[in-house]
Amino acid sequence: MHAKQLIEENNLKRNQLTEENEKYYEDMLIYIRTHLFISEQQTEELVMELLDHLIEAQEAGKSAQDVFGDDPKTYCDDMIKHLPKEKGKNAAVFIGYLNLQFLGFSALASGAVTIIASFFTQVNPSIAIGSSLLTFIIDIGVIFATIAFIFMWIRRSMFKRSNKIKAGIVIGSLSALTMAIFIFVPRLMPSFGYRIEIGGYEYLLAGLVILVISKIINRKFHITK
Amino acid sequence: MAMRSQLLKGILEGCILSIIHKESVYGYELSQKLQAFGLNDVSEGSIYPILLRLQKEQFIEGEMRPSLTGPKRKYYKTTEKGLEALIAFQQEWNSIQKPVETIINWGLN
Repeated sequence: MHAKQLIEENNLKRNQLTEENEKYYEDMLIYIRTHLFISEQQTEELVMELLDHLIEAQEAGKSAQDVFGDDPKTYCDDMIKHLPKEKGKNAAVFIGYLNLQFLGFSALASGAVTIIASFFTQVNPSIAIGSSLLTFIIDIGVIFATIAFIFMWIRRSMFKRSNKIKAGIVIGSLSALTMAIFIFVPRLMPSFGYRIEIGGYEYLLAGLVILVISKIINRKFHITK
Repeated sequence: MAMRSQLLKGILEGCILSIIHKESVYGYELSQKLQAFGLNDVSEGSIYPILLRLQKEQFIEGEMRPSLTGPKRKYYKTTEKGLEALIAFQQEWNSIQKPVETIINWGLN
């Protein structure tokens, strides 16, 4: 059974748990899933096994704590270290897919902004290839760093009583910082590289083509399906 | 009894390998078998890290198939390599079981 089907089945089956058991199980689930470099397939097979076990144990009158012990973090770490790593190819396809999606939506947004702006002002339709490419790479880097940080942070705050105010401040400042980088990097970037003329409609077309390609890749490699 | 020490882990590993070799079982069944044999103090969940390790060593293999009660379960069976490991475990166990028992009884008498 494919990882995506297992995830859907897991979502349905979790409803059978009592509130207390669900809380315990979901903490383990999030903790294990936020380890990004282990095989998704193996991870989903394992968490499904744990869920099936817990459901059967619950019917026999046992709690999640009876089954998995008092120290879920150590318990999960003990399992994670034996799980195989995700294959390099799968990871590369997934990252490539995310990059294409980001590029596609950025192109659509640039196209829309350029077309709307052209009704009100004179728009300079040329961009410098070098600086645009570098800006894009920096943005991608920032996105991945932000995701990695958030995952690491979720992992560390798992199994603890969480402090909502602190969580709000951390997530808020991180989002503000990311937005600031997105806004200021293109402004501060000196223009270099070959200049090409590209208008709003070309942007839209390029964006659509890129998104169609990413859809095809998604279908072929079962990334989100 | 916390099954944390390496010694107990190793023993539990041998027992699990032996049960899986006798018949193909899924996780919950395996924990019930261990308890039926009298290992009541082993927390049920402690079998999963061991099952993962045994898979990593290629001593056992998991296969998804429908269970007797209906839903799909991951059933484990031993491999050729797993059988060798089980035989090696049996020999090691036989060579220490008697002396350890004798020493403990002698010391406490």
